[in-house]
Amino acid sequence: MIYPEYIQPVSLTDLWGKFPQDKKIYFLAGGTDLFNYLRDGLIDASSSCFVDISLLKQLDGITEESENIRIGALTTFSTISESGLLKKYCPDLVAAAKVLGTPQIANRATIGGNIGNASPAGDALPSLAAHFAKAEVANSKGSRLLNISDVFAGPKKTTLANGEIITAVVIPKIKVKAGFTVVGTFKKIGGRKSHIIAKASVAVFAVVKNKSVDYISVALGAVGPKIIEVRNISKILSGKKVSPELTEKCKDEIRKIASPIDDFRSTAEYRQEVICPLFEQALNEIVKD
Amino acid sequence: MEKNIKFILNGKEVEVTVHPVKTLLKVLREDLGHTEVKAGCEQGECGSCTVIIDGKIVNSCIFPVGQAEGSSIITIAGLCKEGELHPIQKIFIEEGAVQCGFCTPGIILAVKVLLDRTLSPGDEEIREAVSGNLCRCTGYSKIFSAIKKAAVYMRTKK
Ligand SMILES: Cc1cc2nc3c(=O)[nH]c(=O)nc-3n(C[C@H](O)[C@H](O)[C@H](O)COP(=O)(O)OP(=O)(O)OC[C@H]3O[C@@H](n4cnc5c(N)ncnc54)[C@H](O)[C@@H]3O)c2cc1C
Ligand code: FES
Ligand code: FES
Repeated sequence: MIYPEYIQPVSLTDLWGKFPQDKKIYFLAGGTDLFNYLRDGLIDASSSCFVDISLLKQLDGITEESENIRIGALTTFSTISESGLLKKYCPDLVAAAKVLGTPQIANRATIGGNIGNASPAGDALPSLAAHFAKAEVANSKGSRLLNISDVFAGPKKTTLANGEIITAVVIPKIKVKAGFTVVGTFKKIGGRKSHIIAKASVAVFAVVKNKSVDYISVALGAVGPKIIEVRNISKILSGKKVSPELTEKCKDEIRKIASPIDDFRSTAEYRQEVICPLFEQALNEIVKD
Repeated sequence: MEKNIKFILNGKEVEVTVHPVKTLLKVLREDLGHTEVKAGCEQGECGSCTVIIDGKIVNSCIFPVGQAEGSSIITIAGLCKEGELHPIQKIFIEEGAVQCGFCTPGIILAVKVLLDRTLSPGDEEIREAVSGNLCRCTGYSKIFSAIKKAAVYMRTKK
């Protein structure tokens, strides 16, 4: 077996100094995607370098800032699914983490890897899009914030330059009116009940009092080349009570904006068929009397 | 580019000189002779290669051995104490929760981590704990009842 070059920096500064010239850089976090690509020959080992970032402890963990919640890129989905801070501010992301992979996968899979892998079926991504989260991207010269959707150039392609690393995800905290609560959930359809890569998925995040909606944000996964934010749903529901008529209007918006494709996992027709019921299920779960 | 990598395996320090991107599964089986760790799908799907690293279950088939440096790893062989099987192992045998046995090491390690956390797991918690381990033989119901029995046994013995 041919292995790629391998380096294991111990700090971010150490990282920039160590990059080899002329090699394609792959950051090795949990390796749950990378190992499969390596085995399947999707990575040309001889011209690649795996930069193992697992020792960069400053990239691990969830912290509360005055305006934001900050999730380090190395934070695993098992940590996310147990986080009290995220249950409070991003219940939809917690719901996604709970159905992401098996327990063995969730112990390894990181949020940075989910973004870096740039699959439109990545389970964290609809939630992050629904929260208008930003990825903090760093290179040797400094760092910048990118909208999650701007990290994606297309399926499995990012807009990051070779060697640019995602250091964290920054999620703005929502303001909650007195008497209202933050709710959110994530739903996906796969080939079996649990632990499966999505054929279609939806994240719904809202601030509600029973059926009255103060704020709502919805994003769809796996029904287009990128994650799709359904912005018009907030126009339909904000300041209103959820009703069957308004739910139908929301579904019309989803039908308009979803642009699924056929691939090895499913067909465009199936995805188009299931995405609206999936949304309705999610909405009914979190908005109720 | 091989590297010296040291970790604790079933309580004993071991050292290997291998490429850090080699999978932990291959290192355990090929370099250290620990064939009790089973190679199934080798793509993170089936859980037969499960080991416990620093208290957490992982699939060793997609785990770079370079990240094992300094950690403590437990395989199914590490559950026996002085030649005596662990209660979970004994109860799996008594309950007929083992047929071909290929999935068993991984499942028992997943159960070990569950029962380390709680000796009163709910049904859903049990199902979730072993949901990353596929069994092609038993249909899971005997595995499920063995886990319930092991929990009760370990709880009353405590
Ligand atoms: C059996 C199995 C089941 C799975 N189930 C699911 C599922 O249900 N839902 C789901 O969404 N995914 C699933 N996955 C895919 C995978 O686990 C996730 O995409 C995971 O989040 C990847 O994280 P990682 O840390 O393992 O990434 P790695 O494999 O280490 O890296 C993945 C990619 O991201 C890049 N990368 C990693 N970290 C960074 C960073 N900090 N900055 C820039 N780039 C980075 C790498 O270079 C690489 O291209 C599954 C995978 C397997 C093997
Ligand atoms: S052999 Fe590792 S998960 Fe199947
Ligand atoms: S006993 Fe044969 S796979 Fe489980």
